[in-house]
Amino acid sequence: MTEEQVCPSCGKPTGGFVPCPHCGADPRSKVSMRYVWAFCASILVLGGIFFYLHLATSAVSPTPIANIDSWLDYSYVWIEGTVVSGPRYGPTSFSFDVWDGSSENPSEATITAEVYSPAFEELLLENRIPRVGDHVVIFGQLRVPSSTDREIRISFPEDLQITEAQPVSTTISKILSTWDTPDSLLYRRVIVEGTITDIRPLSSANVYYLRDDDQEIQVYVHNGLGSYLEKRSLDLQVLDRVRIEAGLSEYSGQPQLAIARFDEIEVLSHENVPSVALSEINENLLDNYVRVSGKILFVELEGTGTDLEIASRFLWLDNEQYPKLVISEDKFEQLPRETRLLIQRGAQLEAIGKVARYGGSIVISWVGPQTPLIENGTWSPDSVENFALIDSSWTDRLVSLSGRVVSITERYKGALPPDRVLTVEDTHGNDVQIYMPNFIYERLTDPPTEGENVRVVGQVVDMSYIGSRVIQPGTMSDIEVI
Amino acid sequence: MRGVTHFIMGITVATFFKSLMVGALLEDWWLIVLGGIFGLLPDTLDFKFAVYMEQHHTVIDPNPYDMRPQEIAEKIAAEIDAAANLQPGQMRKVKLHTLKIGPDLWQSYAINFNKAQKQVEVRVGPHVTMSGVPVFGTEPPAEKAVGVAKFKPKLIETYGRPTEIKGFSGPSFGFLKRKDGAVEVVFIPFHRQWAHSLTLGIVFALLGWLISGMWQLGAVIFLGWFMHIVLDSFGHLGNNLFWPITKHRTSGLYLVSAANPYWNAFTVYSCIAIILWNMNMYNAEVSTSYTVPAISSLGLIPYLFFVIAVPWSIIGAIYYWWRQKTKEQKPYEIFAPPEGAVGLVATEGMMGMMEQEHYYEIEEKPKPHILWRIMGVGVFVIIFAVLFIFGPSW
Amino acid sequence: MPVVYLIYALVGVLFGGVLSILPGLHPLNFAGIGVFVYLTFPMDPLGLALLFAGMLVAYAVIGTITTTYMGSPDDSTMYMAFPNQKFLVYGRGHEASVITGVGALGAALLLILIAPISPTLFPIFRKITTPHMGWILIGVAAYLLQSEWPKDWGSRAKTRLGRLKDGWASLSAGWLTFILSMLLGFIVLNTPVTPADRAFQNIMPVFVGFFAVPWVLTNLVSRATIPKQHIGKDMYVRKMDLLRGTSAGFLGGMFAAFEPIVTAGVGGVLAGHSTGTQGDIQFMVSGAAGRFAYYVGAFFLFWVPLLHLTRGGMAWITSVVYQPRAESDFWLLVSAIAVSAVAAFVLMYLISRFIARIISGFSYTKVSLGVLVCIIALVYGFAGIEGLILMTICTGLGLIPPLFRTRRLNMIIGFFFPIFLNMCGLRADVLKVLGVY
Repeated sequence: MTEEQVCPSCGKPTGGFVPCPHCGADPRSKVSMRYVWAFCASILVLGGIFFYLHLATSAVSPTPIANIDSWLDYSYVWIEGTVVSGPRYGPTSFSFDVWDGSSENPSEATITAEVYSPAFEELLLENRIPRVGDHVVIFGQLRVPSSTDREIRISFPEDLQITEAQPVSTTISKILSTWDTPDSLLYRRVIVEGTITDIRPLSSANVYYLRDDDQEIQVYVHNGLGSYLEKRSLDLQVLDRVRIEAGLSEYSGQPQLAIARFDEIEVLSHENVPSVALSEINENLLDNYVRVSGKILFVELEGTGTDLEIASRFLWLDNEQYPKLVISEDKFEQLPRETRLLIQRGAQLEAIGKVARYGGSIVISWVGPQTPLIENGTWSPDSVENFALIDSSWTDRLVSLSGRVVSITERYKGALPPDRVLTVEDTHGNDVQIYMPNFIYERLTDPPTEGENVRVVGQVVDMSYIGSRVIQPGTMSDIEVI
Repeated sequence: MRGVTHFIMGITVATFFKSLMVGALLEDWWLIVLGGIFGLLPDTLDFKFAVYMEQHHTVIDPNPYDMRPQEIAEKIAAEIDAAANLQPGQMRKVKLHTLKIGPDLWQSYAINFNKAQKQVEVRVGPHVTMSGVPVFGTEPPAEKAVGVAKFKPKLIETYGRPTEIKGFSGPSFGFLKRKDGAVEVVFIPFHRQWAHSLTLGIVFALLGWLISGMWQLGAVIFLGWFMHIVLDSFGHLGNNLFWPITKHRTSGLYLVSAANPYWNAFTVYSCIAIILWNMNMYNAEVSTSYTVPAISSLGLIPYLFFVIAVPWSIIGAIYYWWRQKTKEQKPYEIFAPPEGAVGLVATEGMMGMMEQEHYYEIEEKPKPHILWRIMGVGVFVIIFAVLFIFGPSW
Repeated sequence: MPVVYLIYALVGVLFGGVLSILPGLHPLNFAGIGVFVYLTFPMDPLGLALLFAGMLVAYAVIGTITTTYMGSPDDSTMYMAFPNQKFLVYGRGHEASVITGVGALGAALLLILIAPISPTLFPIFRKITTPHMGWILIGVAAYLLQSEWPKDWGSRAKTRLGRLKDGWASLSAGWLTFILSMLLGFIVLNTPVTPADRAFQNIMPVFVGFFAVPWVLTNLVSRATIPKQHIGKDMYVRKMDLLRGTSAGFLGGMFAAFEPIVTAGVGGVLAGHSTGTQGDIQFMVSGAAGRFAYYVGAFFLFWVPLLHLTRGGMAWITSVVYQPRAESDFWLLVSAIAVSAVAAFVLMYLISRFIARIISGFSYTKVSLGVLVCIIALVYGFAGIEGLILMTICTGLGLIPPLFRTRRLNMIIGFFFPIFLNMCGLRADVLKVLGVY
């Protein structure tokens, strides 16, 4: 049998038939293995070209932030830019905003970067926290639920590369005068000096006011910095002279210094505020900082009027006629819990405030940051047995009284819950009306009902529009069901 | 055209309708798929229903182990003679069964209508696999291989070569009495009749409109159906366009072969490219996140030119050059052994992947006039032009 | 030294090559093994990712050996199982392996060639098609169900009804397979059937039950003997078949890799129909190319910059430890695929020659019995006793298509149909109709 008569594919004799009668192979259409090996070689050559390409290409290829839209949700990208706000600390993460100038609209070119555990802890250990003004290169996963809600998440510490910016020494007035000019120091790190004049607590941060040469700038300190990172509160007192190294950020078009660590604020000196007797406070002292002290006679809450929230507290010290000490509720909330509990009738208080005008009266406006001195105590105004004695001469005085609630009426306040007017009768059958604003009544844990006996401390107020003088309690503790 | 081509063509016309696309984007509508379903439905009706409804006057079902070709020839010739005695427009039908003798093995035979000598010729072939690959040594001896029977009438048949009956389900022939007295051979007469008529398409469209209350849905159903008929007309077989008013199917336009892989792949690709264009356009209506502005700003004509025309001209040139070069070589198969899983799934292995219509597609009539052929393409172009212009307002 | 990463890939090829010749193993198991490797041998994440790439390439190239010689196909090899085994029966098993290997190599080349345009092209596709995924998947399912033609060989019934009944026997079985698989899908995809710690292996017993076990069972009843295998020097195929098979398979595989839920088998059918695939060789080559494009292509897409597409078990596992970072990483992967594909082909060539030499004279019954034992052991190992029960149920379903000559793909489409419905927001409605709630 000759070579040609054997099927090269199945190895059986073909008897000269084409294609092979056994397996159907057609020897005329042959692909030699030599071609296959050459094919393999060409694939290897291509592999080599791509390997070269790998070596020649940068390992970092940032995506312009302006190009990030919700289509890229969950994708991993590099971004590169300048830190423009933050860091904002949480229990296991921190975040900051990065801007890369990829769009003329700053918000389109800005994205929030979020660093989670374990990268969070590792970066803290290495003290590698990006600060406003620093240049960063980030690799992370995008979360873009909508085109306006964009975030990049960093999982590994090596995915955050920081080039620290060098600070420049400047003044507040220079920052303000160059603002909105090409010489603006926006997103640069700056060193400035000034005096802390006040604090504005926000839900997530404290904004300090720094003044120098009659120019003022805000200093932003995120609450998480003290709570989660420094584990302490920032030890600053009003009128402290400080030197701050911070990144110059902006908020609502205004400059703002962003603090990343407490050690960026150095206290240079502390100014002692003069003590002034309450009786001596008058218009001449307007806008001056004063230290005042006295016994709290009455705490009067003021509502916002638009909801049930409390706007501020007026503290009556020593005498009903003296200027009141006004503390806004956000500043009150910022005080330590023990201090807040002590601020009540009878306590002895020493605090710093700024003399100001409020609704036509002179008041002392509480300023922050400060640590007031306070001692516990109790006090109640004189008790009135016979309500018939309360006449026009009693207006603005403080009184205590006890009696039986005979009726409760409501005064509607639009969409808000109504104020309540309680008619309380003494043992002689005389009655007086107790006026309870809605923000107080709604906070009572045990609101009085008709037939119950109550003890009330309040201010005698002439409320002719409801037909009589009324007693208005200052806080919830001024009403007690007995 | 192949089923997938019809299906995707139906989907393509549906994606022009803004209301349906926006509905898909905002409400997860899947109604666009109806275009595809109705695009394929004419063939579904033919090959899943009509094929079984056809009544035959004679059924040829020989014993594969004793073929008797002479008997087969005589039976067919008798039917042709019987057709000659019918009223014009009436038809006699013959079914020719395939003969399965193994999991992937069939007894083949071929029928030839010899018009010149007015005779039916039957030749018994070897055993073949499903795709017709002969098995060595199974040809019958010459004296048992051929049968010839004469018929009387003049026969119109333009295929001009034998029809082989091999694997799968066998074909049927109709012998139609014409007005001129001659008998015309109609291949698989059940196909492309009522199920390929515009009238039935209109009925489905009206039903769709009435049920859904959306005229757009009716339009999608009709256009999916209509594009099937238009595409089918490009091949060799035509359609019975206005059944039941018209009784017989027309000739095809002979523009492309229904089984041609290049034209099928080209059509599928072009449809996908147009679908992507529509998606990109309508996505912009809902969210900028899912559009590529570069495509929209390119413009429709350049898009079609660069994305479809340029690559497919190159592929086409290579394909036809290579096909010409390798014309002699045919894809081959080997028949399966009767045992084991290979034998059991013999039908799935190959025919599961093939489509029946392709198997049936043979040339039947001479090419129609060039004007008809241009008009056929014109209808196609006009429909797409209308869709491109008016789709965004529907 | 960057070249060390290519060595990682080659180690992956060796490792994957050994695993690939175990019949019944699915890439889902590869993902499981990947987790094991990750937990046992902590290593450079990029190196590990490239090791996984090597394993996948090996699976795609060498895995066809089990289909050819042992007959345990899965969804992606179903359509080449038939011609490959025919080749085996005619002594051309090694040639069949090489042909399929060339198909896989062809897909590798195409994958490498599209790499430079991938960072532009695929994000555009993804961006445009993402909001339309629901109806696209419903469309795929609808087409597959609608385009199944009756596979009778000519009903001899006298009445129309009788013929309709005969013709619809296989079509009804197809629908029944679809519906039963869908019910199974509702249960399996909603409740973890396998133990919770191996939950991601949940689908492996399903695939094995659908495809491998029915095939092995039918082989088991065969009394045939595997004939002497001829180890020829060349392949006897038309170059056009190689080209068309590779193109069709690659298109189908990439479509399946790109679209969620769509498997290699489904993609293969769609591409096969679109490009008119015909003939044994085209099926074998397109099957191998489709399989390569599906498994390796999905992993490849995971690395395409800005595409953020995580498809396939291996990509999911890799994403836990490693995220492709830049174009340079992508080029490295492409390079690793090229090197791995050639290495895997050489390995496949050698293994196939070895098996072809020793396998002649083996009875199918014994080979199939061995394969069955291997499959059962693997399913038990990966999915426990619950997995075996699930596999048995799926085997019952998997036996319907060969017995009634209907499409096996109906099982895949049915099984994943609940997810399609979910994507179209229709799942709750269907569950209500089914009375689930």
